Amino acid sequence: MGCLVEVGGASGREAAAIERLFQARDRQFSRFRPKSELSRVNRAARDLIVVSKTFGQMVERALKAARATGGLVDPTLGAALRTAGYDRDFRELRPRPEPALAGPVGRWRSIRVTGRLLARPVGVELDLNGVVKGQTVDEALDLLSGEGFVSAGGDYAGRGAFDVALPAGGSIRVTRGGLATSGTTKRHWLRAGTRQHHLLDPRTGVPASSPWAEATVSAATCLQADIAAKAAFLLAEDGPTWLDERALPGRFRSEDGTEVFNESWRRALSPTLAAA
Amino acid sequence: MATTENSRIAAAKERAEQAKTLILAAALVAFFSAMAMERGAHASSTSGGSSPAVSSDESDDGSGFFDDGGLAPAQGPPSTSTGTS
Repeated sequence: MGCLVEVGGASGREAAAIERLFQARDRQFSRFRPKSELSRVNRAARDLIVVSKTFGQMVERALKAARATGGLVDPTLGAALRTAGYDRDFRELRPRPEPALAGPVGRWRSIRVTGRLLARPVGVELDLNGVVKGQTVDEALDLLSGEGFVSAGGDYAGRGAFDVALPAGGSIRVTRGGLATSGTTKRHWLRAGTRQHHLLDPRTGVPASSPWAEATVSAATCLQADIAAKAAFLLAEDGPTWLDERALPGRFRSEDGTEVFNESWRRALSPTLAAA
Repeated sequence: MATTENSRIAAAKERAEQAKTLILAAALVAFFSAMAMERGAHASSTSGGSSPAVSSDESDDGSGFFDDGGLAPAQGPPSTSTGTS
């Protein structure tokens, strides 16, 4: 998945099982591996495709995430990511002179999945990375027999209380569930001198404009935290309130370093407020 | 006696096969009906020239998807970190 995986509290056998899980998910869901199941599905020249059980379940999760975010976290932006310039492993991206193109808008409502039967219009390219990493972190945590944590590229899930460093300074104790950060500080590249990033607005098919450099969210699972962080980032100024409406603590950091905490975050960190 | 038993088993197997066929047919009808409805909805939404990601009837407040985790002030050096993904 192109990220560092950190594990705490695992035995040698558990750590090895977690490593195998991440490798398997990368082989199955990578956009950049021609033989991955995702690549085969995206290349398929027919609407109806039989997929593996794991693939079908991941699509189901992605559609639930899309529904829960009003379509903001959309699994059908694979082609739009390509036209924005994210067409190879991020470590291999280099500035290129040609301008990025606007990609197709999100079409998550055109996807149907029933068990292992997937229907999607030919040409609609799936990108399931929005759910695969968070879900894999949650599943990896289930492989631990005792207290511990799993963190992949900064997407965290833990059993037990652990202190977690926040982007650009500070730390917080996660006593339950997951913590994830989404933003543009890491995955960005240049096309014709213009900065591009991977958080696309599904309404336009181009990288979203947001006042935030990154959004960090706490939720019951890593998958939920990751989905909520992406949605909150894309919602721009409405992100903090959107999270509050779902009782999710969120911390936002703007490009100039200004930090904004929503009400749920402040309450979680203030015993007085939490008791009120 | 054995012949009667065998024929009863064969009849039961046939009924089970028929039931499975009916269930499969019903699932396929439901699946393709949903596909057709979606295509119709997509055609009508794109013919207007806009394709909003959010519509009032399909938006969700996330109450069935999101649950809160647990946060507290840090009490020591961090064990790991969260960073932009």
